Amino acid sequence: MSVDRIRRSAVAAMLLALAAAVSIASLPSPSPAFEYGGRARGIPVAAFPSAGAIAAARSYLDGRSGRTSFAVVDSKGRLDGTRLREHFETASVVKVMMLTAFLQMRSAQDRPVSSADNALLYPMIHISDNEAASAVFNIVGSDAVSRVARESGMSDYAPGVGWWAYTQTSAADQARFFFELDRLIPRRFYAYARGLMAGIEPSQSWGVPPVARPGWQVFFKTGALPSQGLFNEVARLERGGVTFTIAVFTDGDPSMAYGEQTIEGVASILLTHSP
Amino acid sequence: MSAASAARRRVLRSASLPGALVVVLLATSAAPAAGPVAAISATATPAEMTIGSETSVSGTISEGAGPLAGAALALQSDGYPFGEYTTIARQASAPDGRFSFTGLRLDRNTRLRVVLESSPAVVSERVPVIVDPSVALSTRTLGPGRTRLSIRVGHTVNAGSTRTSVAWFVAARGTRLFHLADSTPMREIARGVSYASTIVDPPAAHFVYRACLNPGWEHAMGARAAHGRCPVTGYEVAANVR
Repeated sequence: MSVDRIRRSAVAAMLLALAAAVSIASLPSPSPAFEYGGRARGIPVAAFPSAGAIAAARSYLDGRSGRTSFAVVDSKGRLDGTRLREHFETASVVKVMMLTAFLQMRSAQDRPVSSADNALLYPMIHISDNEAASAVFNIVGSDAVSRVARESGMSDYAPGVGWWAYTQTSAADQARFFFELDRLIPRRFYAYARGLMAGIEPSQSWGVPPVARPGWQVFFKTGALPSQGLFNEVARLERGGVTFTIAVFTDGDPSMAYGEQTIEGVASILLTHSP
Repeated sequence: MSAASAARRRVLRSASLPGALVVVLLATSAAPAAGPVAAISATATPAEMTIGSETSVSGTISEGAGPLAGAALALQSDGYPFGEYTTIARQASAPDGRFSFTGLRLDRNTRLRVVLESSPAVVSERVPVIVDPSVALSTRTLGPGRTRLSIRVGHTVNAGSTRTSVAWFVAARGTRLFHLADSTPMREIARGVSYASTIVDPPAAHFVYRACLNPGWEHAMGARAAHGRCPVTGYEVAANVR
């Protein structure tokens, strides 16, 4: 194996020369630093889900009634989907942002999750208890949830007016947020948070989990505002070294069963149309 | 060459500078009192070395036109962060005026000089030696989508924090774009030896990777040109990587 000390100043000079000759949109040119390089071999794996599967899911969703969008951050970290930036109300999927804000607060205080904390967090996620969520929201505050949105790079977030369930979001923001969960949730609490999101009770486990399990580990949260036919779900799927996230948002569905079927259909296509 | 003519030559070399007339007059009046002047020339070979290896400082000492034999010479060292020379070796010059301090093991960027221990002392020009960290890279394919990259660095001690992180960049061979694949902490596994590793999803069957670090000891080692900051995102290089 060759081990080369990279002469980055020379590389930078070459890059500048090239940039002068050819107009290219390039990333920042490298700066000189202690940098060492070599060659390696590996067995690359294709991104999951495949581009074909995402295209098929897009076609499927276009045939569903109501207002819909979905986003995928594939195993290579690339964002794709349809109507990625369309705004929806989060309903209960915002509870994962509250959970993240709460755990960040405890980490900053260097305190563990107490039994009293768990008495709020567990029902908030496990059975999507709204009273517990309101209590958590009051503890962390709106600003902390907004900070989580900023830290995860959300561009379509807006705090809910009157109720946290009316928080504005997009499929792209939520898919990215779930892809970044391992970075956003403090390491000491990450296993706890995963346990909550993987152990949601069966009546709340519609959409992605029935399709993906048992082949995939599924960490997810559903959301619903049945009075307006709004049904949402965001999920993080892991299998071996492969991780990807799905966010499906629907509004104006004729029934809850229809909304659940839409989300299940997207998940099914993404999983079965990929190699 | 007599001491007087040597003194005149030194002054005449300055004659193109402003105030030359004054300097020439001083030289004329001072010349009869000046004695033989010793001069030391010294070089390091190599002038850039890897920590753990050796360098040497050799040269000659002369007085007037001839060599100065048996002169008591001291090799003095001033390591980063610089500011104080200490004597690390002594020897007498050979009959032909030559000297050679060998087997010098330096652990950081160092300024060396050779001193004739006389009164007044005669000092050579400063001889800088750049000391680079020692680096060992290794790779291992663990399975589909998993290749382990690791780096072990031998470095100086007591020259800044050893806590740092390594930014790992990968690019498929034949492309120009390096992606930031991971950033991992570097641990000091033994005194003066630090290690970091990561498992990356290879971008291609054959790929190129780079490990970039900004350790606390970086200003104590390596050339100044290597003391920039690591990129925080991917970057593009001019030519396709091979």
